Amino acid sequence: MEWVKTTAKTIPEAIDLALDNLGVDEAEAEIEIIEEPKSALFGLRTKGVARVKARVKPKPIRPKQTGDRKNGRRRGPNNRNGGGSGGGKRTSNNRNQRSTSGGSGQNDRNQGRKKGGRNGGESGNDTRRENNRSKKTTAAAAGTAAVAAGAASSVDKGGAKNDGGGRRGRGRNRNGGDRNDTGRGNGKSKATRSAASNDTTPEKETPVEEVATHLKGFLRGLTDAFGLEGDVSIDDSEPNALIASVDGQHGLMVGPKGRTLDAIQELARISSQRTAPSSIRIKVDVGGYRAKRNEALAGFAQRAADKAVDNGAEVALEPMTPADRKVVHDALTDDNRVETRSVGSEPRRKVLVVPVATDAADEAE
Amino acid sequence: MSDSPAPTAEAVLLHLCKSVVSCPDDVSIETSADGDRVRLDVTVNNDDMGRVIGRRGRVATAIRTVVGAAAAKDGVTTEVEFVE
Repeated sequence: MEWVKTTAKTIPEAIDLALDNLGVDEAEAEIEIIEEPKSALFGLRTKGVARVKARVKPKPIRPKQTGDRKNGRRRGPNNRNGGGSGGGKRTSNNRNQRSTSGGSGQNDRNQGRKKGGRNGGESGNDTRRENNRSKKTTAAAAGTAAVAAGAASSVDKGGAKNDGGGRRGRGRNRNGGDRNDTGRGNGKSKATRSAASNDTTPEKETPVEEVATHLKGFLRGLTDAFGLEGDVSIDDSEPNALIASVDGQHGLMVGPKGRTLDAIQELARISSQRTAPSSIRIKVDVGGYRAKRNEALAGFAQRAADKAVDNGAEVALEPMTPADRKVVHDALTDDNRVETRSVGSEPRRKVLVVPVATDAADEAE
Repeated sequence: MSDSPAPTAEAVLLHLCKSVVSCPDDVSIETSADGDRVRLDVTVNNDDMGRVIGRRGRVATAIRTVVGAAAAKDGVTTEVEFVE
């Protein structure tokens, strides 16, 4: 599971999204930029998309590497991949894999990495992993990913005492051990490896169902515990995402500014993640609250834009969650009068709505 | 559990904790009330301590938020502690 990939208009947005999906702070995540929008240097009016992938930072194996990772996190993950930490180990490893499965690794990369086609430094990393994986799960590359994934998840569940722990401790270490693949040969590593394979392949039928079932169970149990009535429905129409909705106007489960709902969503995510690891994004809604709120938020953003233009001065919105900020960014992308960007650091990161006065406007960025 | 001062909060807390730990059977809650303030002491398997707390206490914070909402239904405020 490990990596979460997100796409947005800008790198910071994509990173925000990724962090939101992972449910961790930026300091605890490892982020790699897969694709930058063109002319990303000058703000948001760009073509193309920003793609990043992120995962929860592996527990450092040695303190030395921590520093290394810290350096690489936001600006230059590629540095790290290029030659930073554990380079030596990786190389030997790499050599190993290449000799055993050069061809299929290639195959694998094409298959699983369509999205990451342009990622320069990163592909080294991935190829390595793919190569590795392909030794045991070439099947995944051949389109039977779903099956492999299913098997993998069950192995994961049975074999690893706990997936969360597995990934956090062992799994991530091992992944930190992407650089350090010695553990890969062990029996259990197979599971994680195929699970990762699942992560990068388009088909995910089995895990989606599994996650959906778990999510439903979690929310049913929660609604029950609250002593409320309300069926839980799962919307899986979005690719790689599940939106669980609890019926009924349960203000109790929404809370002031949706804070309770956000907390529920986070717990739902964590719980699902630990039971059925996947890269599927999970959203929770109660009584259509989110849809309504997003609509209101977009309207609010629009008014902020009007104000910014009228006053000819930037308008700072109140701090919002990454998801809310994205709604604001999205609402104003097509508004040529203003630009938006996020400033500050979590949890007080907020959107600035900046009027575009003249052509020379974006010096600031 | 009907004699609990905060049955809803307790049920929610139990459900949430069981959902995030690896040993749900080892989750137990001890409740003590002081007027409208209810203290909920959660005990989990030692290996699960990190799971209920989470990175930078994120999980714990989320659990407290949700339990706090549930406690509103019981007409009390809660204090959730995770004890070793």
